[in-house]
Amino acid sequence: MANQLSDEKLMGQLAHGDKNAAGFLYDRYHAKVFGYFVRMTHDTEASRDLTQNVFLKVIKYSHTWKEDKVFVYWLFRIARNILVDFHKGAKRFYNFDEEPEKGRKDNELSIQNIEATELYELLLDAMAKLPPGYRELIEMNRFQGFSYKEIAVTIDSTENAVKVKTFRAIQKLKEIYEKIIID
Amino acid sequence: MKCEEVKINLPEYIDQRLDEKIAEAIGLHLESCEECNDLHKELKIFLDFTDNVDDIEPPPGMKAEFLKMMETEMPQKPKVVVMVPSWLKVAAILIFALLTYETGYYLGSEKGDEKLKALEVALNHTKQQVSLASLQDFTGPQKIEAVYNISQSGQTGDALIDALVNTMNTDKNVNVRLAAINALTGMIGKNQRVKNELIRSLSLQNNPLLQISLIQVLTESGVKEAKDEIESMSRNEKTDENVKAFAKDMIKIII
Repeated sequence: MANQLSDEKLMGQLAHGDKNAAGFLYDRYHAKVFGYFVRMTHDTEASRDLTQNVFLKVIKYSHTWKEDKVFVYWLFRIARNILVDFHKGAKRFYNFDEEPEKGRKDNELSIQNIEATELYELLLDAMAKLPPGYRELIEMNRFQGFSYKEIAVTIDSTENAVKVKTFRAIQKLKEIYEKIIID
Repeated sequence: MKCEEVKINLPEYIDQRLDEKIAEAIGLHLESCEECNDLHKELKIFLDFTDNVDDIEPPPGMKAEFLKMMETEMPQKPKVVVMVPSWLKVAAILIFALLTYETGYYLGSEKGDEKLKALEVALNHTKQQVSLASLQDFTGPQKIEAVYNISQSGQTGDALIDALVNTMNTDKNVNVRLAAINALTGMIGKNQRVKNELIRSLSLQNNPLLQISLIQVLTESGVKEAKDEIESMSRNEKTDENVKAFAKDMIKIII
């Protein structure tokens, strides 16, 4: 059964032209990738397009896939590159001051439970105020569940540097979140 | 173990991802250090909160949208490039050779001028056919060359204008669209329809560079009929700020 194969086996099949494998990988990861973009950009509408782009790139570059890679790291490397391009484009054509407001409205529409929405929005607000490097470490470590070693592989860093920075990022996020709650 | 080392390891200690020995050493340190113990409790509460927030639900219909995009945007197999010129190019070369021969033959004869004109018309027609075919099948740089050839031909027939308008409004490559705008600009004075198509294109283009190019050619060519559309763009909230500013400046030229 194809849907029981490992991510890496499915990528191997995709690399040999079996596009059904892309559907299985999409089912497994699109929610995680979508969540990553929402927390990183604070913009639900853009996150939808960015997520689709990630998986289109997975197909486009499937011929470069090598069996010794770990799919999820590769996937998030693609997502990071797309995020960088998104910010470059946003800088060129949009007024950055308007973006958080837009994202806030989008998020209001997408989250139903009011109490959870309030807490979650406050957490998203706190995330948005983190420096981008810290935000990414929180995203990968807390929301995607990557270990420090896995993050180091994904962002081309060392395990020790990731450990120190992630600790600082968590402390900073906690500090900002508590300040928002008090205000 | 020192406090700094303990603190840095606390997230992994909470996640239970540390080696048993290190975890044990941290546990012992926490029992004897009030400051680290307080931080551990605070971090545990905070990380329990962040880890238990429901994940964001993606909007419905994303999978169907993705499958559709996959079918339409991804080629089934890599295109095989065959280095053989299209039949139109072969035909053009043969006709050109024949015309060159006939031109030489008839030059100096009584019917020479008349025949030469007829041959030139035939040659131009063939060149035009080659350029039109190039607009449909070729890659970006080849298309730009084809657009340039059309603009140099001096002809303004409906088929040429149709092809250029279609290229200006629908080609995927921004540079090809830009070349089509430039080619059509050269025809503004020769055909009223070209003006209308350039004005209509203002509302079809999304790329700020192309919008600015259209505003520039229409205003500098003094096309007063474009005034309302450019004014409307300058007031539209969705218009890019750079385009808005350019439109406001250039509208003064028309007035």
